Amino acid sequence: MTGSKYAVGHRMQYLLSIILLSALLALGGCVSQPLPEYQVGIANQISLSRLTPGVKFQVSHGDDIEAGSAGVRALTTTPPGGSWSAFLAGALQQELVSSGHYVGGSGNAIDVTVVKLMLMDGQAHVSVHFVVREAGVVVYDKVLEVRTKWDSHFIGVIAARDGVANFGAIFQQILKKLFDDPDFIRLG
Amino acid sequence: MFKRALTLLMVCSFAAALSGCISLHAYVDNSLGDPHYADLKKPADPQPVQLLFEFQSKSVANARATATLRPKVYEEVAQSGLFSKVSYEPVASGRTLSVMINNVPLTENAGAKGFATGLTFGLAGSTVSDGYVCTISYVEPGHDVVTKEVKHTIVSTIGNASGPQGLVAMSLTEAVDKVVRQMVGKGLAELDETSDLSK
Repeated sequence: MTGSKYAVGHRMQYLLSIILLSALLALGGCVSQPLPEYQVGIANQISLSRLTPGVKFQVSHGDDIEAGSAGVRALTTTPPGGSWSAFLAGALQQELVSSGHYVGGSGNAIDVTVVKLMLMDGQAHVSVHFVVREAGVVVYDKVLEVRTKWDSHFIGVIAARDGVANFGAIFQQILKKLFDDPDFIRLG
Repeated sequence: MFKRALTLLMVCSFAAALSGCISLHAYVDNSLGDPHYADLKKPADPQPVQLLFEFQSKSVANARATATLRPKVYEEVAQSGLFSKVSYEPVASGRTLSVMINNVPLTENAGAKGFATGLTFGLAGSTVSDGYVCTISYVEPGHDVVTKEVKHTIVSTIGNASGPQGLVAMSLTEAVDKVVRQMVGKGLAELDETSDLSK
């Protein structure tokens, strides 16, 4: 009798656990959303204004090498362009178009490959391999990286929103690092 | 964008957990007023300009807000009559007008306040203030850069809290639109006043 009561109680506990877990998943289950479209940065445009007027580049990209997790709490974010390298190449092209330094088919080509990428609660990191070729000859070959940290909120939905916002900004920052590199500015 | 207020709303919603109906009201202070572009001196021969716009939250680029607000900023610059054409692409003369709006929190612990409001189903109301700093820079090759800075505030209330006296309650979207319009309008008026745009 006692055993039966225990068995019923155990089943009830199990059932309650399932219900609670389902409710939790329904309320806070994993969500995946694409990163917002890249937006040109004013600081980047100021940096690009230091290039020689008239110098033009085209842009290409490789495949991501080690794209780690890009998520905060239950939210994971994905690149709108299919890969992080494609997303960053698109971002670079936008910056160059806006500053008047882009033309498709130019003899000067910038190739970008995301080497490492990580987004976690309160921190993000990206490493990118930039290669610039002039008429097929490599004139710039560097891996640049940006690490960023921010205060993470105790409520998941706010922490996730802040994480995505800070993660989006890291792509502006890595391009700024390229644009501010004296070795890159010399190319123009 | 309007981060403090949004945080407050999200935390309230979380804490109220499906059971309450807590409304948010936003208030814009009257210090700037609406733009009067007809009163500007305006150039005799307006020139095309490239418009650059960026919205930041606590000095970090906010792509979503930038995309949302860019058309509104474009509209204000185009309506001002200071330029013959406004373009997102470079213009032949190299003239650029950059508009940067940075949303800075004026109220700390907005999340904790919102949590309390949510737990009490709005009985313990919350008030938060968001600051906005708009920096407008006009670059004309061969001339000094002209930079103007305009500040503004949105006060938001959730639950049982009264707003600032004499200000009209509106939705957060309406408040942000109004703040952007007034800041850009004021910045352009100051630019028109002190630069050689009108010469």
